[in-house]
Amino acid sequence: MVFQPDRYERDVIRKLRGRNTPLTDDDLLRRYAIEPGMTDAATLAAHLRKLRTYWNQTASGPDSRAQVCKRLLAADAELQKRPGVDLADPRWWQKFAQDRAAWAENVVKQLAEDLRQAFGAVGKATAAQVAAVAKQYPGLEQADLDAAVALARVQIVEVVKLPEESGLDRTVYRDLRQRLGDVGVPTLVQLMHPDLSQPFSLVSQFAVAGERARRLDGPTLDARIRDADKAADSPVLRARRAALRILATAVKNGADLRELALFQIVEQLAAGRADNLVDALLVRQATRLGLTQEDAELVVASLPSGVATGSPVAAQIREMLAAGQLRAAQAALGTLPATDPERAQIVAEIDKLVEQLAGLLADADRALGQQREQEAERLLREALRIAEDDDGVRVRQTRLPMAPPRDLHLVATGSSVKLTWQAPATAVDTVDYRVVRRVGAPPGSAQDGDVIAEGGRLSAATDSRPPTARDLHYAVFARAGAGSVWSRPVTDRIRLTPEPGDVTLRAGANRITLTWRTPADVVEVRARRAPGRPPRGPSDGVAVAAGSGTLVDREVEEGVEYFYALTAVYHDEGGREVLSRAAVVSGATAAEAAPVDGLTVEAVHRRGGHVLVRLTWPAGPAPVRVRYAPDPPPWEYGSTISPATAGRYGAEVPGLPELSGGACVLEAEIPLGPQMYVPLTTGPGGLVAGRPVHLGQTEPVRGLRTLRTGGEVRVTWAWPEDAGLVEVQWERPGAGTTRRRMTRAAYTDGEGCVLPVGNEGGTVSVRAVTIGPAGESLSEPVQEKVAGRATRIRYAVRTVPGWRNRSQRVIELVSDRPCAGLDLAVVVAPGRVMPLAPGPEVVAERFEGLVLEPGSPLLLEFTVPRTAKPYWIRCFAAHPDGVTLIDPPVTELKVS
Amino acid sequence: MSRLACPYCYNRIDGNRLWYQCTGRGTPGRAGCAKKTDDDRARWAGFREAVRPSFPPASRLSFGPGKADCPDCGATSRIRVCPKCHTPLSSSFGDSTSPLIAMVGAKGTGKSVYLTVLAHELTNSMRRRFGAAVRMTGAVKEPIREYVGSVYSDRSLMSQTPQAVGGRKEPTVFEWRQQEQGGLAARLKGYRTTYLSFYDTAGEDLNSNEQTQDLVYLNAADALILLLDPFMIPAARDQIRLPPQAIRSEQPTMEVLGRVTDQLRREHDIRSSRRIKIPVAVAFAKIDAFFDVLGPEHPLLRAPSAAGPYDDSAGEDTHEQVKALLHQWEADDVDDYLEANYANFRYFPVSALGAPPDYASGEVDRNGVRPFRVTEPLLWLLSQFNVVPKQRQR
Repeated sequence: MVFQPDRYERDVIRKLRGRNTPLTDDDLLRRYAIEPGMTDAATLAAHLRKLRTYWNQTASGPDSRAQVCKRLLAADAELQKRPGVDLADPRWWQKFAQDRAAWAENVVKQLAEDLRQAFGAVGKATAAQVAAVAKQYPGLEQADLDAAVALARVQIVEVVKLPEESGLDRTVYRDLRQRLGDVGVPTLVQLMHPDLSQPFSLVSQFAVAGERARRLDGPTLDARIRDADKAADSPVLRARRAALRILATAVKNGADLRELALFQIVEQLAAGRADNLVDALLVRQATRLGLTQEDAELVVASLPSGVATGSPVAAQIREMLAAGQLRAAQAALGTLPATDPERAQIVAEIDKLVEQLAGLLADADRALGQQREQEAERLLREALRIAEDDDGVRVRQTRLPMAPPRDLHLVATGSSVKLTWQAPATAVDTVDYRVVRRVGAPPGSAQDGDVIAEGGRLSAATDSRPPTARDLHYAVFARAGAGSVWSRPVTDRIRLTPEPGDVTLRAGANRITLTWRTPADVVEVRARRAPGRPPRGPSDGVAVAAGSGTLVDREVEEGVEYFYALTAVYHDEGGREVLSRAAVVSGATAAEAAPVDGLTVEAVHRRGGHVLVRLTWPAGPAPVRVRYAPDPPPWEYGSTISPATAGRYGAEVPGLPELSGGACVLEAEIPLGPQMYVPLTTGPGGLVAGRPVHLGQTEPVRGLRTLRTGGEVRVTWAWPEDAGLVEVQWERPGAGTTRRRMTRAAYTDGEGCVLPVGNEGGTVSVRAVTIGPAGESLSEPVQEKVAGRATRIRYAVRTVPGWRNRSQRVIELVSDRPCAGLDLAVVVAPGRVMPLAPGPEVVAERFEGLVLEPGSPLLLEFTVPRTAKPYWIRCFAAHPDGVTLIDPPVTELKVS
Repeated sequence: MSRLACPYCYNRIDGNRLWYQCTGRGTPGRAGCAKKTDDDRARWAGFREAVRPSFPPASRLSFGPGKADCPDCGATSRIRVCPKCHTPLSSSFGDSTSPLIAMVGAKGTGKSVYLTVLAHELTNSMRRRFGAAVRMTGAVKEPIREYVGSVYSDRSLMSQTPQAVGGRKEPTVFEWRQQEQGGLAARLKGYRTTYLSFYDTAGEDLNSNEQTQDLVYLNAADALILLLDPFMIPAARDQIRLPPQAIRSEQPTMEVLGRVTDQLRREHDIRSSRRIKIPVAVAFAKIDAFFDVLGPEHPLLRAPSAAGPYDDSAGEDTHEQVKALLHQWEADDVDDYLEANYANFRYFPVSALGAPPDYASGEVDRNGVRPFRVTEPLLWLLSQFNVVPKQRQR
């Protein structure tokens, strides 16, 4: 309970120092250093005495504590005058402490609400930020502040130190930022990890959750540079390469990529804060840049609160320097007051840049002198970043020759030369090329020789008419555009000696004929022949006399394969012989081919829209292939045609023939429909056309049905899609076979297919018919049996002349075939309606066991029972089955 | 005075007082009449395209002058038109009988299919049989042709016929032109032209008495083809196996008969003690469903000869066979009713398609349309009007 001046000074005096707000009763307990144990009046009095002594002593001192103590003394005097206040009474202090605790509880709630509003969105705040808010509530103790923070659910975090500079030269950093923009990535993290899909942390170290292998270091950077160098060229890739190289240089100079990446994020967040974005939005901005939520909150909490301001002229000059306007900045320096606090620093910056520029230009000159054009170009580009408003630097860049093209390749193709090359190592987007050819020596400049090709974006060219048997030197030059200087060339040489072209060999029965195309400038063509293998050199084999573009060799044996080597001979500029490579062909004499005259084609069976056909022809020495088409072939039998001509006719029957008993047999599936098959024998002069054979297969009819009604049958079927004609065959036992054709129109619009049916029935078969240019094609027949009709017995009812016989009737029966054992019931039924069955009540007479011969009438007489009119007389056959009675006209049956 | 019925609007008209339609050619100094919609033609014949105006003849003679001058443009016209509906009629119209044949039957009986197949038979087998030139005329040629194409080529049945609006829609009209039959004197007369006008009702039109009254065509009919559905006769239906979709009729046969009879009596002013005299062909449709039940030797399946004049004896035999079948099917009430109300009727078994269609998919049998005795009702009616000759064989 002893008063401790040091502690009092730390806890009270320092906090009141510099505060101009009036002293209130909120912190009375702290001002008087009253502690809970001071319940004794004497102890309290001693404490107050010591305190006031301290105040008085300190108030007369020279430092800032004196002011505080003076204010404390004045406040103490005023407090003692206030009614009801008794500072020497422990009970007063107890009551005051109770009142103050109740007050503090409310104030803590208010503070908590303020903190929630200020930092609730982020959920984090630094201790300094909390203290700044708490300044509005001066009477609160630290415990009250802690309670308020806990109540607001705000986490107090330690402030991290964020980088204030990139660590790179300002122009280099600006260039990096521009390249990243071209690539389309916000930070170098995405540049170095283009496949990154997870958020990363950056504040303490670079890390990606679940991907420990990811690094932000030199080896990773080198790997990315290698990847970029391998990838196909594009504007974005060029920007990526440039950005990676800037980073590589920075790493080499000791830059920390993590710090640099963090600075890039802080820079963008600071711009957001300058735009008065609230912290929640800044956190979202940071996560969009790739940061984890935790790091984003930490960085936002640690962001400096304001934006530094300075002199506008100084800022303008700095902006010029950043924009590479060194000469303009030097000019503007005159408008910056000498008293401006930033002048000295700006002057130093300008001087540094001037020195840097001079160094770069000197290095560029040196690199160019050492034929390192790519390095010179880079150095000049850096110089331009510092002083792009310097005309001297611009002129240097324009006059700078670019690096030469790379990897020139020459390929001789016949009598022409094809050139291919790679673009030079340069950052220039559009490059012009010139291809120059010179005989005997490499071109010394872009104007030294014949220009073969010139233009932008080339990577290949063809020299179609170069001289032969000469040393041809080709050079490819590059430049940035019209007005620029041509680069050094990339060169290569070739000597062109084309061999004879389009060599064809035609083998006859006892001779072999070669023809070829002779290239230009050829002195002669030499031919050599060797049996069984190609000649091994210009002196191997037997020389064969060759004419101009043709050769006929009659010194050959039948059945031996001969190889011919044709070499073209040229003369070089000194008149010396130069030989081309040899063109080699081979062939053997062969007997003349005979046309096939025994092809047979038969359909094996149908499968869907195809038919399996079997082709057979006599086996011979020459191979035979068969082609088919709906139309007849345009060639005569025995004529010789080329394979190309044969290929234009239909299609070839697929498969290889098998030898069977001296015949070749080939089975293959062919589309339905009439087809013409033509055998083609392979001979030395081409293909010999054999005798064509026709075979047709058509899709059959479907759903054949018959409906017999009495003595006729109606035949119906479903037509195949492409058939308009059918052949109907009607085969009846004992009545022969009839065959007729019916069109689809007759079937639909006419009577249809109706056939007479005899006693025995018959078999109807229908085949679909299609007609094409090669003739008719019939489908497989579809058959249906038809039952025979019943024995037909016609009858008539006749009256018997004479009045006395008026109730007598005669029934006359005539059968169309023999009928024995006929039981006949004669019905006499009253009423308007014809009887349909012989009911026992209406049967007037029965005749049994009747025997009928065809065409011989049988007369039966019976008496009509007395019946009221109208009534019907009708006969029914009860036995045997298969007998039909044909009624006479109604007028005979009905009596009225 | 020659009183005829217009085949297009079914109004009774005077054949000697036909109107004329302007040719639009005009005369010197007077421009020809322009085409415009004829309200009368639209109202009576349902034809709404622009046509030249029609006008009555100036002459008051009781016989037609053969030509007349347009009162507006003065152009001479020989185009004769119906005075009511203004539809052009042939120059020979009125020279011979042109019966109007109404076709009635309850919904789902198959009237449209029957009329479609009949149209096809008219222009094919019937035309050949009688050596006639037959062509379709009038406003509804295309729908019928489409129906024929649909049924014969696409094997697809048409949907339900829309109901008649205001009791009026376009009939199907055929022009039947053939040489006069008979001896030299008859042949010297040359050719005669007959119009056959069919009116296909929507089945629903007969389903209530009010709609029946709206069917104007019935009032003007010279003859009737009454199509009945045997599937609506319970005893007949029980003999065969039918899918549920095949039962498309909704009205009992006797109800349909009663409504048509009442309408005819009312409009033709026939007392109840008298019988209706216009010829009525009572056709039982879809008879192919009973082929197996009847058996191949049944007399009804023995179609009469399809050549020469109409065989009236065979028609009588068929009539008695069907009548007996009706009694066997316990549908004698149908026969009794017809006997009691109609003086001239005859039964026919017909099948437009020849084989049951797939009722579920609405497709004709894949073997195509095989009409069975479909022309006999029409032939009998035409023989009644002496349009086709008839004979009695045996």
